[in-house]
Amino acid sequence: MGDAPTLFELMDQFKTPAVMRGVARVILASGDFGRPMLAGPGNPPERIKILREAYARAMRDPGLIEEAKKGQMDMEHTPGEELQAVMKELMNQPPDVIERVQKVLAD
Amino acid sequence: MRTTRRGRTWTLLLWSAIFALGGVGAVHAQKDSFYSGKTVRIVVGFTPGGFYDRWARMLSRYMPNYIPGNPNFVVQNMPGASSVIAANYVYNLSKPDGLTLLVPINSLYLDQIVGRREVKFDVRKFEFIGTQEKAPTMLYFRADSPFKTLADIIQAKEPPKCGSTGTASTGYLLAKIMDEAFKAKMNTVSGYQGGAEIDVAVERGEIVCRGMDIPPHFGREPFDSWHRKGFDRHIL
Repeated sequence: MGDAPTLFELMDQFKTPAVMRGVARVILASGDFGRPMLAGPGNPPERIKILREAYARAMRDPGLIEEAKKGQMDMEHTPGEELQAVMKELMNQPPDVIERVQKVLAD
Repeated sequence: MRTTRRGRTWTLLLWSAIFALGGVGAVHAQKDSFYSGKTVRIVVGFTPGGFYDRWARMLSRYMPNYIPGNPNFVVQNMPGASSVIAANYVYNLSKPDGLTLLVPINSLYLDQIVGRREVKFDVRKFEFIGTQEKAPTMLYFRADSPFKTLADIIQAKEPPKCGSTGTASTGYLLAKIMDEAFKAKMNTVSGYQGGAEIDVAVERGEIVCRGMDIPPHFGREPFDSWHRKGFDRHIL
């Protein structure tokens, strides 16, 4: 990216209010989820564990890596547990942030 | 006699212990091979051909190798309402038996936050299995446009025209945030079919900028050529 600042660095520089930072975080965090794979609620934890492990190991498979490269499919694996934590953080934003997100997305 | 009997008893105990251990082992094996002979279904909230679908299909070929019992995987496309239909289906109608997976849009939680009426799930209760990329956001401008910094956009009499594919796209959302956060107005020109069409429009000079995810901007055309020639500038 060269010398370009991130959006959040620009927000530091321009002293953007915390609410607006929260709004930008919530809206743009979708990018962190890539093309996510999920299971519904109530699945046996040991099977979730097996599926997460299989996902992680598939992402390290040289055959898959080669195919992704050929298909120009970008790769940076994030484990399910981590995504779960990010989702919790996003959904636990203060009400003023949520209201502003609703307003920005409604216009 | 006594000694022999005691010996027999010990032998029996030993064998029982071995059987018991063997039994425990067999239980484990059974548990591990739950997936043996089963089919795991990946429900994709989009039509075939896009990156969501392509990733689901690729993973459906590799994941079975890493699951004890090597289950069969199938991909089912269930497009509609930006994948909310697929999410509703998996959340409410699929059995919680570890045999159904969902690949929805990455902004599914925003549908819940804005309170879309179609949403019949709580995104916090899904179990995340993983994802294959992280895509932070960037904003490029033509280097020969008058917009060199964020301040130039804020002060511009005529806002820059940036391309977007529609209201759910990164470009569209970023323009909204730039306006709200910095009073940096950008005129979003919507309706391009895809990112490649926006880039062509920038090359032609119809528009001068595009907000997009970082990963596709590197290691491929037209961007590699642009970067060699200094055609674009990254504001963020």
